[in-house]
Amino acid sequence: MEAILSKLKKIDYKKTFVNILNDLFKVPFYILTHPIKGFSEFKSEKLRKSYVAIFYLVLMFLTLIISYNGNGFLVNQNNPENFNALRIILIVVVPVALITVGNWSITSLFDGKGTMIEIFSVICYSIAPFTWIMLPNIIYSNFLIIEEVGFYEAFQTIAIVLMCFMAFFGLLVIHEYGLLKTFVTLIATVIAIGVIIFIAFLFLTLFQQVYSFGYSVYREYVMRFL
Amino acid sequence: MKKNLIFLMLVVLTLLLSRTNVNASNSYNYTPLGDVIESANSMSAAKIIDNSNLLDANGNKSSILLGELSDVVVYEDKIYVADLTYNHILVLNNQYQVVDTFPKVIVDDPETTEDDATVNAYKLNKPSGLYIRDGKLYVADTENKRVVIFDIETKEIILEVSNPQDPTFEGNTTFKPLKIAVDRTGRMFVIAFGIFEGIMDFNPDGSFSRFYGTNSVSMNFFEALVYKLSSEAQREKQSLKLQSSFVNIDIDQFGYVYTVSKPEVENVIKKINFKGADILNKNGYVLPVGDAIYEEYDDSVPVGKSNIVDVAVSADGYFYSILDSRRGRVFSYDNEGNLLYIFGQLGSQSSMFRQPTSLTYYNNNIIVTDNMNKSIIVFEPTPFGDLINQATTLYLQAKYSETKELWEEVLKLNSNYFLAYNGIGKAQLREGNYEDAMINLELGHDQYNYSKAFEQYRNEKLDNVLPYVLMVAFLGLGFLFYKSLRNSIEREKEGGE
Repeated sequence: MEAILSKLKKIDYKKTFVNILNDLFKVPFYILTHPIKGFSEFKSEKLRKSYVAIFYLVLMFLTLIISYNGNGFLVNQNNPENFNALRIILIVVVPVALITVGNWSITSLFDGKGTMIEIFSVICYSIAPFTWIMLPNIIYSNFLIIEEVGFYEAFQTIAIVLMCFMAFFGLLVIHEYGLLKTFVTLIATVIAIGVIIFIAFLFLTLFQQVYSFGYSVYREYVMRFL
Repeated sequence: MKKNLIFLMLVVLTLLLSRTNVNASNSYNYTPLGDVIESANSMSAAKIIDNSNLLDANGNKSSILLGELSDVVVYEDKIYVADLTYNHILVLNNQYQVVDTFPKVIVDDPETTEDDATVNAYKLNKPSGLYIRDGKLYVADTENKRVVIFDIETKEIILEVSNPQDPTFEGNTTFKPLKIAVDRTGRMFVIAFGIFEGIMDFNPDGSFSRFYGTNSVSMNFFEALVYKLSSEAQREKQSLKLQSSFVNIDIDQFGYVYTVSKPEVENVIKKINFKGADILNKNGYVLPVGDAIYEEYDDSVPVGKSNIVDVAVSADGYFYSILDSRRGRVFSYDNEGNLLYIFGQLGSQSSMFRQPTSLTYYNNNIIVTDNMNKSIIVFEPTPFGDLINQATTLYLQAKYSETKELWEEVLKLNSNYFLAYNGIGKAQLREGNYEDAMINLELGHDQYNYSKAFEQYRNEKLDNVLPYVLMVAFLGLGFLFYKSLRNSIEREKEGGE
């Protein structure tokens, strides 16, 4: 107990706080404004922090969850009765996981230099500008009239474009590819994701059949001998 | 004592159970987000005329029987019903007694000067469509391949329209008119069997003018891909993809033609202007296609899109109703496209449908004919339906403030009637009560008017706050200006020394 307290006392809280803020906001903004340089430092100089990646992944689905009911009436066509936080979380997490695995499996064939954790981090870091724009957008959308909805939509588009831009250059830099090769690997990634989904469905149906077979054997046994 | 108590409980229980039974109404409507929600009854079957109670003009049992009824129209307080079985048209008065039939019965009198051809000219063969305009009865006489026009008073034939002069009819195609509508200049709009080119537009003198309001053919992605990749020879072997033909037609007092197409078409209901463009308003919560939600795979209920068979426009042009034969329902809309109410159902009771064929407005009532029951059912608005009709009429006449109380009455009868919130909200918006208008318009999901109310509300708030904000901002600016001015003066002084 004493030891823990003394350790806690030794921590420079102010510096830690500044460092965390630095990691969470300054670094992603620096990468956004200097993508090539930023991502190469991200790879070589340990600018990458996994907790930041997780933070933005969580912030992404929090943004979507808040926007489901928090968006202004004029831009919100969601039925509050259909609200399902778990589904929104899956909508965010599953594609991120699929893109990570798909891109990793393709780029390891195409001599990509990026590791899986780097691919994951690039995707999560590129979510950052999306959340920065969309969270204020949720508040802003509550004060709009129908003629001004265009602003909301413009900001939304900018957010998505920035997200794609950052993810694209991130993948380009960490794999040490050229432009064309990045395009080709992205297309191949889409195909790989398709294959993964296909195999997942195959497994699902297979397991369903195995389960139903096992269940009918069990029923047969119960009916005959018990 | 204890026995009494048990008896009392039983009575209460029975009452409760019977009450739930009574409440099992089939009326429903759609919420702004497209869900099904229960509704109060809006129209109820007030009179059912079938072969058991059909009376003649003297109030005796009629010698005429009802057969398969194909069309019904109302003209000057009389109801005209086309009968496919007996090939005649019945005329009913406002007491629903048979007072007359068309065509006139020509007595076989040897002294008569009329020859066989004239007698035959009066005979109808499958009259499947009717329309009446300016004292003329237009009959689409399908198997005689003609449209025949009777004078309604003398019952003489005024004109026969047959053999339209158009290249479409040069081959094996014959002209078999099914449904007809006539505008105020006497132009005839005819839907004919097996004609895919569109509605046939005839001049008042009976000459063919043009095809009009054609449904367009659409291909989905794969059909287009197959078509693109196939050769000329392969294309010839593929089945022809034709425009969907029309099913039924009506015309409103302004001359806009309302048409019904087969359910495969995107716009099942169309309101066609003179140029042939579809101008139907679709501002409602759901599109005017009948049922918005339906079962796709189910053995116990009818599946698939509504199969609309008829459309009728009210005399004032504010309302129109469509008849779905698949689930036996009538959907009533106002001319902005709001689904006002739904009534009717399939069933074996006499007030239900088995195979509904046509409907028409008779003042506020709606008359529906049924082919299999061989009956005519007259629906009358309930107090709930009547309030909706009144409020909608007043709204469309731009008497917004008067609608408010009516909509409040509607909400007392059915608090889930979302259009009523819209109506109240719009009235409050005109009154300048923006804050309440916003609440009601949000409940009714009217984004356009909500935005209007919110704009005013926001301006009011800004009027209160903005002067102070601007004052503070100007003061701050002035202070900064003063400071920089003083700084520069001081610097000037230092520099000077």
